[in-house]
Amino acid sequence: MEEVLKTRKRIKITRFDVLNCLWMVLFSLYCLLPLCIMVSASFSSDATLSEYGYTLFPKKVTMDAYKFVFESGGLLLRSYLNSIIVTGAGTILNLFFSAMIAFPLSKYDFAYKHWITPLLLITMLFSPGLVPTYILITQFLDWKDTIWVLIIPQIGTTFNIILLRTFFSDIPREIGESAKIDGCSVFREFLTITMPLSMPALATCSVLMALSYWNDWGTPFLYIDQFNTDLYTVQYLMAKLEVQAKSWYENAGLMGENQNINSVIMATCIIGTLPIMFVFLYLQKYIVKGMTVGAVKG
Amino acid sequence: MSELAEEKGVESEVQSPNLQTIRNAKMRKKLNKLYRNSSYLMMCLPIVIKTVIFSIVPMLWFVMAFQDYKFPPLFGKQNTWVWFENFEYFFTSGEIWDIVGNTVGLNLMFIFIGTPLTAIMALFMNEMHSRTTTKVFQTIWFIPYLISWSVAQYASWGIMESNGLINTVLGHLGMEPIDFYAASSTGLWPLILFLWNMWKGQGYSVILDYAALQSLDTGIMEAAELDGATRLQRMWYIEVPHLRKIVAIQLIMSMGGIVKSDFGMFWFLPKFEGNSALELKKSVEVLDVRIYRLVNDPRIKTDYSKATAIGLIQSIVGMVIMLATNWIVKKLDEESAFI
Repeated sequence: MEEVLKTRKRIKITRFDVLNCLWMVLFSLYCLLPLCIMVSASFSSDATLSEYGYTLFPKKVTMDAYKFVFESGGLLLRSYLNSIIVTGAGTILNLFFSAMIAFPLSKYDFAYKHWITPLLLITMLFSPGLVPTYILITQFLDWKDTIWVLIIPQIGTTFNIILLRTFFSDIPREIGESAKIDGCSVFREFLTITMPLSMPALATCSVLMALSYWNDWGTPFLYIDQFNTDLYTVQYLMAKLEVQAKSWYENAGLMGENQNINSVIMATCIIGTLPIMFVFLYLQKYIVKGMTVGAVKG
Repeated sequence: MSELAEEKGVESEVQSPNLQTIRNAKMRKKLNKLYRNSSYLMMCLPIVIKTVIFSIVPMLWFVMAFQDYKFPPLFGKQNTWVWFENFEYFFTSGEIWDIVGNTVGLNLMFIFIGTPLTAIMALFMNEMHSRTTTKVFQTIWFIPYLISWSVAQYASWGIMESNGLINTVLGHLGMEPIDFYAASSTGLWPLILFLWNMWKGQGYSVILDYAALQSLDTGIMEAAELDGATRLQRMWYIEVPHLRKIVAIQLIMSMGGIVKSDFGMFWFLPKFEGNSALELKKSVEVLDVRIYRLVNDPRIKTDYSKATAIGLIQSIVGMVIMLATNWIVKKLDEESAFI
């Protein structure tokens, strides 16, 4: 066996392999280029940027932009806090309720399955569109400028429910049946048997959910007022950064002199994006798993 | 339960006791079924209520598309009924057709260049020997997917503004700088949008296709190798058929979204706010952007009715195209269809 492994390792590197690697390296550079420019610009001053233009590596390294953000950008901290609250609460609620509906749907003896599945599929096929939803939320529910609007509309996405249903149906039905004979109620079976048995599935799903909550800039963009800084999330702050960065300078009494608006914007983006990006990169195998399993028949 | 059934029996003036018994039995059976499933139903309830409120109830406001909507209440006197005027505007105004053309044209470009390219890239990625190297590449390609457009827009300034990277490089080469946001460069924007769209999603899609290839039985590949199949033959006869299903589903989904767009990309990249690039704005406007602007843009007249009408058409057309694509795929290959 070892012989085989050794010969496999000594595969000859052909011209094909070199070319194959080359395009992958080029594409990687293409993916990294915008990020690289942002990092480089965040370490420059606006004077350098306008003199030499944006470059891949900073011409004169300064930490001024970062210093300024840490001194005056208290809003960033506030947004981080809001984003963490929304993502945390949203993911937990979303996971619990989605699992709770996916559980009966994965059961062969649930008689009304054929009523509920189409209802969920309709939402995938036909969306009511922006304006009706906007009116529902602002006039009917009156959720404009509340935290609910950031959390509740995303709960129970059909995709996640189907994903969880697929995972749940892999659990042998005998386990549930024997629990039932021993007098276990359906809800207790869900809480004490199905949920613990499908921990990997729940992890996959919660990563997907957390990602969609964290990266959601569209909902606050529509429903949170620009001046309501108490409810800013990180993504919303990024969308409104041009205005906010200027107001930071105004508040600091530095308007008009020695401004580094562009580098401050870039620095805020880096602080707001990179930490959480590494978390999700670390969790990427869950995202890939979820997306490939979820792409099965509805 | 039997009391209820009896009452029902008395109410319906059925004379024959025989028929009545049968009805009672049926009723009891139904109630029994409901009772047996009651805990399951209770568990479904929260999401069912949420889905009804957020996906079914909003359809009530589709009536706005047939009104000249001013302010609530929906059925108040101030909202006069204009029936199909908003749709007429949609079909007769040339402006909207430009927007539809942009939406569909750009989406077709993204789909029909992007999907095959993704599959090809995944196939070649699968030819890598070292799993560690592939892992590194995967991680790098995943990064753009995690950066939202609200952040990526600032990177796009760094590349495309007058002192951006491209113009810096052009300056070093002694060439004329390009003003990407000027009216004269609208012709470049389909390409720019394609490149940005590829930056954002291509790596991610390749990783998904690559993951699908990983589920391929290695025994088949080794057998083919022993039988003397060349690299290309292996790709074409084994891996491509294996990818067919996931590509079909991707295609159905993206065809369903052909009248929709990635709002973030179309909103943030062409700098809709602040800049005076009116021509540019027109040349890359898509339906989603127009709907948003009809609701929330001080520069054009707010018109909920027209926005609803456009959204309604968008939803219906999207659904029809999705079902049609699904139908065609089903005809070609039963297994790969979505529904």
